Amino acid sequence: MSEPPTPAAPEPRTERSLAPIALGALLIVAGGAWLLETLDLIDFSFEVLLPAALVVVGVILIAAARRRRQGGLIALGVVLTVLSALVVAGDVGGGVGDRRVEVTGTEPIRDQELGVGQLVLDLSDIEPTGAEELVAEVGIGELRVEVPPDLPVRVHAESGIGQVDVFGEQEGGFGSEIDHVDEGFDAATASLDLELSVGIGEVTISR
Amino acid sequence: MIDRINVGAGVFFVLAGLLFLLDGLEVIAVSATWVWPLLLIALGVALVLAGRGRRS
Repeated sequence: MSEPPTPAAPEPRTERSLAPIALGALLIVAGGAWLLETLDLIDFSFEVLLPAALVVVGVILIAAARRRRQGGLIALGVVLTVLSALVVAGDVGGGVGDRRVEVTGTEPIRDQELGVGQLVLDLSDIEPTGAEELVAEVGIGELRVEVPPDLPVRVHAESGIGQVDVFGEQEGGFGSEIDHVDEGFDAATASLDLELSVGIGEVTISR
Repeated sequence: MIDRINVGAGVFFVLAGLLFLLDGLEVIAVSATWVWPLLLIALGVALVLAGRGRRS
């Protein structure tokens, strides 16, 4: 007596990784955005594009909750997270190159921003008549500020990754920051309030 | 069956992406000094959760 034929076992379901599809879609969107920017139809910005791509990858991963582990897509998300963080930490607006700004006497002190490079602010000969404020930011590179020896200053200096040196007091590593207030700053009729920031690199203020 | 790593990573990427996106659109200002410590904490949490998921 022959046994009844057993039904063939169903083929195991093969699930393809979503990473190549997601990467392809992101490249199409990035290329399209670049093309439209070249044609002056939109403003293309990595500060917006990278986080938007990160959100898309996250949404695809959540949608793939019932699929197998999407290692490639997770790796893509990690890369996009690091790139987005670098863009935020190293705010790359403000141009590229080395810049030296010298202010003397009672000339107005203007805020400064540099994307990548060295920014030197020579304020050693300023003679402010009141309470002045200055914000200076460098994305990636070096920020050096020199102030008059007898002018009361308040300083907040920070570096996302790198070193901060405020009148010889130093701190380095991730998220370094130093606050300094000169004696008599609050009561002074002429003073300087400085907000200094570097995403990746070094901040130095000296007299 | 739901893959917790897919969901956890997805939620993290969406939240991080929205945070960076809002900074890029100048709705909020994310300080450079916060970014790296927060990413390290998030990486640590992800590794702990991944380790727990592997045991269960």
